[in-house]
Amino acid sequence: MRKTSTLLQGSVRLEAVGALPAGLLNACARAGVPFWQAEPADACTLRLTVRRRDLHRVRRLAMSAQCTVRVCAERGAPKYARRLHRRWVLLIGLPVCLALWFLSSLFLWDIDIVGNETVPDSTILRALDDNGVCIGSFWPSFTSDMIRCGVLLQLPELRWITVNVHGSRATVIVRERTPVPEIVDERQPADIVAAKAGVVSRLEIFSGAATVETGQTVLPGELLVTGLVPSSFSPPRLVHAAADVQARTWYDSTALTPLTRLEKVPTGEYFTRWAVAFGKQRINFYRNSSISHPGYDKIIKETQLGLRGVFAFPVTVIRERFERYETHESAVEREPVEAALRQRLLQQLSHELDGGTALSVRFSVSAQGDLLAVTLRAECLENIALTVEHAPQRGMNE
Amino acid sequence: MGAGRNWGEEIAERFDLPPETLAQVPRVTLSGNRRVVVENHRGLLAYSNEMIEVAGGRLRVRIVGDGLCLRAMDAATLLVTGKIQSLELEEGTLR
Repeated sequence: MRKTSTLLQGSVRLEAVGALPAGLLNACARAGVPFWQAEPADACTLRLTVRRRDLHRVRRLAMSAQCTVRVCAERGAPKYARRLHRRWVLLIGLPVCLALWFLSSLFLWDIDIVGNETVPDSTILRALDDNGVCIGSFWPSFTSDMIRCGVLLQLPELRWITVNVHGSRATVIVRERTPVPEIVDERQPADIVAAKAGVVSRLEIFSGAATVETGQTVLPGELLVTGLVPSSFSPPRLVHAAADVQARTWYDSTALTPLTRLEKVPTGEYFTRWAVAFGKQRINFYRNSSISHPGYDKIIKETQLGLRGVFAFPVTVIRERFERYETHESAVEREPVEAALRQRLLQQLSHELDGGTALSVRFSVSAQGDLLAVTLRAECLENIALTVEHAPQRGMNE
Repeated sequence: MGAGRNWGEEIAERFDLPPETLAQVPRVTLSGNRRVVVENHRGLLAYSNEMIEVAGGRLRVRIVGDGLCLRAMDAATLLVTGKIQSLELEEGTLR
């Protein structure tokens, strides 16, 4: 703190020469003039540092102590302020820059969205834009309630939203609505049909009457459990059928991939284009902007000016680098490709099983011309029960 | 009163008081061999890296050492740091 204060006030390094230079220190101490770094250079010379504003007092005290004082060096803000004394453009430029910075901080130049998982950023940004929150908007005019009401009405997938503004950067925090689970009305009559073809291996009926037996082969859509339950003492009654029907199912799927591929080889040639975007206004420093460049990779790098995470200017420097490449046909290595295809087929099987288990999995690999074919054959055990609305004719037709 | 003593010192001694409260004598506090504080001083008489002489009324305090530095000073107190080898007192000076 003291160093900062000294730096702001400015300090001077003095050299006092006299018969008894220590007398100057005595005089300064008696007069209450602070000094530091007092070092004797020789018997008649002493160097010391004082505040710049005490320089005139020290000169007078030096006269009374019969010393001569010479300024050796000067440090601190007053020195630089004097340097700027005749530089009017700099002096004017500083407040102008500060004013621009202040004005610029009243507008939004960067919007960050956090908390969304399923609703994309673009959708939220569009809804915010419709409610007046966009790049370049004047944020002091925002009303949280208005934004919240507008956006939540527009996006029912969201249940809460807030906009926090720090400088010219807005952080939009959203919370998504929890999806309402499907409500099954167990009073509604329902049947259970086969979701997939298979051989029934186990039947667990919780409600309803079975129409198939263990070991029976069923086709997709075939009635497994009916909601129409016969009774010996009363007319048949309708119930909401519920059952766990485990069946052995078979999967057969094939994945193909070419054995050759076009490989990009960069030639080393490139050219760069520059553009600057002020808010939404883009200025290109090149012509023929609509011409595409086949055979080139386009790499765009956008740099927004400002202090990252704190403040952002509405200026984005855009660099588009076009790197030329040539394509060469090359053969792919068979083993890694085959392993990747097997992995994908297994993932697909796992996705289709949805809780079932694979009893056995076999792969077969064959080359079909320029293609590599990997075929998966799997025997699985899974629940094939599918609850559907009861239809009286369903059991009769079958 | 004895030679070289003033009434303040005499009274302080009679009443068992600290002499610096009544008499204009310096109070020297030595901390190890790296730091010495002189209170009630009357100013510097000489200042070099090897020797600092401080006026203290009837006493002159001579600090001898190596790399001596006057770290702080005001009208009543001064602080000297450095490698202090000896402290000498000389009577009879009055400033």
